[in-house]
Amino acid sequence: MAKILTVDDSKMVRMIVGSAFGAYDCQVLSAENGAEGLEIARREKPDIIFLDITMPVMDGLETLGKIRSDGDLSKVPVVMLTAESDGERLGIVDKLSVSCYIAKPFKGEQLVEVASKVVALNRKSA
Amino acid sequence: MTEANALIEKYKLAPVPPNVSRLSVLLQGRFASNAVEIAQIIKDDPILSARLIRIATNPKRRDEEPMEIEAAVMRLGVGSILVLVMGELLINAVLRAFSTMLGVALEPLDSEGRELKQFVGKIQFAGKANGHVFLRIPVSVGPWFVTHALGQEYAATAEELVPDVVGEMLNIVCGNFKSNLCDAGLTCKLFPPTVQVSEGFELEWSEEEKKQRIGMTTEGLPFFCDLVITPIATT
Repeated sequence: MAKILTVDDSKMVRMIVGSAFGAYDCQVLSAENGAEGLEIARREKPDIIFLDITMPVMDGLETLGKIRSDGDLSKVPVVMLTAESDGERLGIVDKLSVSCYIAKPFKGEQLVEVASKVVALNRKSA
Repeated sequence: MTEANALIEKYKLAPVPPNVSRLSVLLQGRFASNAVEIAQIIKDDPILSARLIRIATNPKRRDEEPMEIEAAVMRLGVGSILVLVMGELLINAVLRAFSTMLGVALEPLDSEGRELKQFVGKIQFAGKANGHVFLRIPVSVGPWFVTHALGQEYAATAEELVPDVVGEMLNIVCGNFKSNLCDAGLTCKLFPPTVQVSEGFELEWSEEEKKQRIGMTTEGLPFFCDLVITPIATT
């Protein structure tokens, strides 16, 4: 079963990510900030991570840097899911190697489309 | 192709709104004293032109012959036009957020909604541009707001979710707005949002600051967004 981790300080976004994958046979894990996300990622080894940038405690850029320098997590696909997409920000994120950059506002279907390129998603049987 | 445009294409992001380059050109200040040239920059956009004329026209004279764009530019001055263009970027961000996250199209509303009991989300931005953005949702509209964002299955718990949904919608709007300001050369950062319930909302602003109040509606429900900004000196 695929493991999907969403790291976002907004409950609304975490709920939308959970709903987007509700029809699929997968486990959606969630964290409210980068530090908590890193802890869950190290423990659960997710197949894909949706990561916000602006968060308390540890922001998404620091979290992404730590993921990339962690031997067990460095190859995990990370999708940035953030409202900030100015040229300078895009350049910084691109250098940290991400699978995709989704600019909020977004739709749940976009998440499924992106995830299905790197994770085997099977629909739940009726 | 610039590096930023190449990355926009690589990640299939929405193109940068044309008003970002208008703002960037106006900030260079070469046109500070030339109303004809400023009007030429504005004229390409009929929505921006219409708002400029509306703001420059005395409300009591709106039935008279419309003012020329050049005259409106001279009346308002370049400082107010900068704020007008920023206001357009903010409106664009609000329309996109409501359309994508809630699935609704907003129309202009000629009201400020100050008297309503409402959730007031507030975010500060600071740097080369400084100010606040407010997103105001009437308390009575809160459950509608939540169920459109998250689905009818959250109707029973909608009331407790309203502050989080208002805060995140404001985050999305301001994240887009802030990115536009940065791309225009006004590098700035956002502070975390606050959401409170207010009755008889009064916008706090000093005499030096400029403000824009934006009323919008869909399905007969009112929404409000306010921009308060410290004037920016052109170089």
